[in-house]
Amino acid sequence: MSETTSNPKTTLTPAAFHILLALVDGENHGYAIMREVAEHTDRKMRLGPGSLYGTIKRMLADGWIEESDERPDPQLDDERRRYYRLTGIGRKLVQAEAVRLEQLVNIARGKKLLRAPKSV
Amino acid sequence: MNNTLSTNSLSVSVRVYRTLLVAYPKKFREHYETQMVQVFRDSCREAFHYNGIPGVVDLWIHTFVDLVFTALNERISERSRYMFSPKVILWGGVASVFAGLFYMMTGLAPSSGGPTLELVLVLGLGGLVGLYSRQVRQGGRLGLGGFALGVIGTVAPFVASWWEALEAQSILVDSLAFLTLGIGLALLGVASLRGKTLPRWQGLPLGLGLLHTILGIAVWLIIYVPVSHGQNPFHPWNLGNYGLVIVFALFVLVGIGWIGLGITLATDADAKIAQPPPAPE
Repeated sequence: MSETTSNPKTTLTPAAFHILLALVDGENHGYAIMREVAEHTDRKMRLGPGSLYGTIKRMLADGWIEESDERPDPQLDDERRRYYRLTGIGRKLVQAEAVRLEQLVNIARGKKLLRAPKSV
Repeated sequence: MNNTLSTNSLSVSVRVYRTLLVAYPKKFREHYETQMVQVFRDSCREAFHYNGIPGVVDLWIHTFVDLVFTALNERISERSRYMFSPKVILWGGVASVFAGLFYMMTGLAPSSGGPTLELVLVLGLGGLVGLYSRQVRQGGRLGLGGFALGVIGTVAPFVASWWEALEAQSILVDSLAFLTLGIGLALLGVASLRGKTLPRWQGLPLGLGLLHTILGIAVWLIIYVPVSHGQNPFHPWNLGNYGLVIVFALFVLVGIGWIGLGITLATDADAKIAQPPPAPE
C-alpha cells in the first residue's frame, strides 16, 4: 500500500472522485460505475474502459477501494464481473473532497457567482 | 435481419477491441482484460440499442481515444516502476563513478589517448538514468525535461560522427553536447532539490550540471574558436596557454562531481523518499 493512503491532503482526480462517489451507496461493478458516473455528470464525463480500470487499479493499490465477494443477486449477475467497494480510507477521502468542494461552492456563492440554493 | 446485423456488428466490435488491448502492458491485461471487454460489450449493446450504428461509431471514437491515452499511460507507469528499481540506481551509480574517473583521466593526462568521449558520455548516461530513476515520480516535467536534454547531449556526438556534414564540426558538437548535458543535469538537479530525492549531497547534481555547462562554454571558447581560426590550441603544458589548463581543470572537477554523484546513488540506491507519490489519475 502506498503512502497516499495515510495522506489526508491527497487531491483526488475527477475520475477517482466520481468513482468513489459511485461506490458510496455500496459495492458495484465496472459497467455500473461507468454508467453512474455518466449519469451524475449528464454524460459530460464518459469513462472509457481504459480510464475506468486504470483508475481502479491505482485506487486498489492505494487502498481506497477493495474487491468485494458479495453480489446483490448472484442469480441475475454474470459471475465474471468483479465488484468493488469503498474502504474506510476511500470513504474518508471522498467525504473530505466533498467538504472541500462545498467550501469552494460557498466561496463562489459569497462572490455572487452562483445563486443560493432553492429552499425545499 | 436487424437482430442478426446487431449481433454481428457487436461481435466484430468486441473482437477488434479485444485485439487492440494488446496495446496495454501484459500485467495490466492479465488483470483487467476480461472486465474491459465486458464493459465494452455492455456499452456497445447500449449504444446500439439507443442510437443504432451511429451510436456504436461514437462509442468507438471515444473508446479508441481512451485506449490510446490510457495504454500509453500504463506503459509509462510500468516503465517508471522499472526505472525506479534500486538495481537501476545502483548500476547508474557505478557507471557514474567510471564516467567520473574517465573525465579525470582526460583532464590529468590529455595526451595519453585515454577513453573516447563517446564512452565517457555513455557511462555518464548510465549515471543520468540512475539519477532520473531516483526521482522519476517526484521530478515531474522538470525532471523529465532534464533527463531528455541529458539524453540529447549524450547522443549528439554519436550523430555527429555518423553524419558526414557534422564530422568536421566535431569540437563544436562536443561543446554543445557538454552544454546540453549540463543544462539537463542542472534541471534534474533542481528537480532533485525540490523533491529531496537524494538522501545526501542534494545540491550535487545541480552543481555538476553548472560545471558541465561551464565546460561546454570553455571547450567552445578555448578550443573551438582558435581551431576555427586556423590556430592550434593543443599545447596543454605550454605555461602560456592558461586556457587549456582551465579546460582540463574543468574536466577534473566534472570527474569529481560524477564520482560523487555515483557514490551517493550507489550507496543509497534503496533509500526511501519521503515525498508521497502523485494521486491516481
